[in-house]
Amino acid sequence: MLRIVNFSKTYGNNKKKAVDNLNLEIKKGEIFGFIGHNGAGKTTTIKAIVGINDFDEGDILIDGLSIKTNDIECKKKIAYIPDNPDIYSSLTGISYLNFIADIYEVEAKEKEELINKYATMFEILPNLGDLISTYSHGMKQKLVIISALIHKPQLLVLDEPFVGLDPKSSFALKQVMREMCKEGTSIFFSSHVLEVVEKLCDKVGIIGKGKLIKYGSVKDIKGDKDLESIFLELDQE
Amino acid sequence: MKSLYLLLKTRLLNTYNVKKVFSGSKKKLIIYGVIALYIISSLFITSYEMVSNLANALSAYQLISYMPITFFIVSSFMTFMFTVYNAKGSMFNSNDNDLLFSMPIKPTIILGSRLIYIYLWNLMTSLFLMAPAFVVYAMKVNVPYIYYFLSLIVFILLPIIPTVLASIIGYIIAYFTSKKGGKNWVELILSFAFVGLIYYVIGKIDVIIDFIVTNSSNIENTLKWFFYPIYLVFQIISSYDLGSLLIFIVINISVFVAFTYILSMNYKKIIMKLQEDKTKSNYSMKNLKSFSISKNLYFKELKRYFSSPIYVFNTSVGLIMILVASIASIFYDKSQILAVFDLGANGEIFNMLVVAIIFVTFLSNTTSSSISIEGRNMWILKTLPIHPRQIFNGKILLNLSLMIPIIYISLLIMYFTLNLTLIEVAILSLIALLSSCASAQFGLLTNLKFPKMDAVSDVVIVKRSASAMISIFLPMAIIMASVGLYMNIGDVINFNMVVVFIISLLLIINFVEHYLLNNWGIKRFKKIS
Repeated sequence: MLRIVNFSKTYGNNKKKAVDNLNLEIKKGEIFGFIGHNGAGKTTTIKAIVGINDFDEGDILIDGLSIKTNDIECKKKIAYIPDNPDIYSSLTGISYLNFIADIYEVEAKEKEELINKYATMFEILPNLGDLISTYSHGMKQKLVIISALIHKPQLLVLDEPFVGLDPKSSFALKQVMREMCKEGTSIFFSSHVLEVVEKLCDKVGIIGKGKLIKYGSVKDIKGDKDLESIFLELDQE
Repeated sequence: MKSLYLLLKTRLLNTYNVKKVFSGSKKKLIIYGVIALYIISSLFITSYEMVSNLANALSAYQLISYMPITFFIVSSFMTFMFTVYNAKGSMFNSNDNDLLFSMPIKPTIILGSRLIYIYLWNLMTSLFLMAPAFVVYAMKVNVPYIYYFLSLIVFILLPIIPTVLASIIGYIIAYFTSKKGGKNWVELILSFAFVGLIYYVIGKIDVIIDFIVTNSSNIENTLKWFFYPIYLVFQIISSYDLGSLLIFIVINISVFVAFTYILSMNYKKIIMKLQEDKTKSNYSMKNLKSFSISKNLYFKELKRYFSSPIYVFNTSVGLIMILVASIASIFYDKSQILAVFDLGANGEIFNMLVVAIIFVTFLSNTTSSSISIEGRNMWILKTLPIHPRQIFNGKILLNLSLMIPIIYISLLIMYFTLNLTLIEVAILSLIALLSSCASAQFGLLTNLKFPKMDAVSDVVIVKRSASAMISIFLPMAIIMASVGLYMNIGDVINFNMVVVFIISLLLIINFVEHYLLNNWGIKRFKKIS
């Protein structure tokens, strides 16, 4: 579903690469956890996958299509949840969800059903008529999550999705992620919460200074240890 | 004092991206330098021309000694008008409010830094008028060296009182808006009401001056009793009176300090109130309407536009001016209007309208801020499965949907009131359409070239960003230069030829801009994050 081939990204005139020759693949229905310390290159990679940042070297393929040359078709298959839920504060929650659903051409009936389902699940339905400017960080995060789910993406890309969520919503999101994988959606997410990555993911990639240090199934990477110990050991090196 | 300096420095560096500009390539730096130099020199040359004309007129009537004081008054008034438009936004609506109020910094310092920032901006803009005035006056009159020293001090202090007066209006608007839970429409109505009131007073200025003059024995007395700071300036400049200078310095600094201190007592409370929004939290699922992508993008632009009073205010003044002028034309006959604009009995209203419409369309540009205004929400547009061209169209359509109806309604009114012919109305409508499109596309291209995605408030984007300034001042400089050229060679050129030239030029500009947007613009949009 997602294939990253020799991807490198350099910012501005700085010759130092933020991400250097990254290669990885996520199959249909897999959950992939992307971990690394701050500034390792996680968000740069994610922003290139979802089409926010341009890049010169390598390619990123979504269901066989290049994000470079077929960006619109690729974006139709992707949903993105950023680390900071900055959304249009001049809209109400429901207008925002309706806007996103219309752009992804979700059928009217299905749109209402899915909004109702997820807004109830994340306990935000009564607030949907209020302006987003009145929302707390967590409420905005929930709205972004719902907007990502209502168009049934084939690839869900999440950058630190659990930040700001209350425990109940965090649990609900994990449930949804598992259900989506069962239905064939692939999930790529970055997180600093290594326990969640360990429990939730099929595959893990550890990135450091722009390079992929470890990549494989959770089992293979951690062996007898826990993911946190492996991560700290690699960080020491 | 250290925190005041740091706050001011950070805001200036953040607004003007100084480090980013100087860290770019040499080639880019030269290009930006040439553009900036062109705009700045155009403004200085235009200002110099105006000042010279006035100096010649004053010389002819032996009134040249009143020239400095005239320009100090004009500059103060302009400072006041420019600040009224954005004082509230600059003082109260900043993204960094929460951050700054959580720091161990007194509200007086936060407010002080913002007022000094507004003052510095005003000082910079008044330079465009005052520098040519100094030069022309020195060329006309043999002044002692002390004149330059005193004028410099007066110039530095002069924007303080107008800045404070305009900020008081900003404060009143913020106070009443906060009472209504930060409602944008309250702010918009109050802003327009204040500006309307100011324009009304300007309209009645002759009556006011008559009243003042008949009730005082001479000009000095008039100034002394009604405009004391200006009286002091008069004394400083005409008599080189150091005592008056001292009083002037004390008054200005006292006014600034007192205003900052008094306002800071309620400052935090008002800001917190302005951030409050009433919530209902009783939504239940209803049938949702579906719209096409284009409509959705347009509605999004429309809602964003009307959610920002400073954005609306800044881009609608020109349109309101033309609408008010057309309504006023119902009550005045053609000869009176020609007299107001000093066009003589045989003056052509049509010629004036051609220039006015082009002027208004470039003055009312919304697209020069429409990329920057996305700010941290930009990720949404960039991840949606839509072509950048659709996004551009939504932004251009917003601009056109605001401009075209108002200009066409104004033209319709003027068709009846000013006895324009149908052909003239048709030509003016065509020029309005072409000029609106050219302005909208130009604004968008400029904003794509100079995006400001990390602004602390809408005021920075709408009033002070490079994009907003270039989109207004570059076309203005070209329009003014063209009008100046026509006034010099107008006798040998038929205005019909000029109109044909303008329409052809606007058509070419539109095609070039369209091409640039579809190619360079799309590539550039993809690079912005």
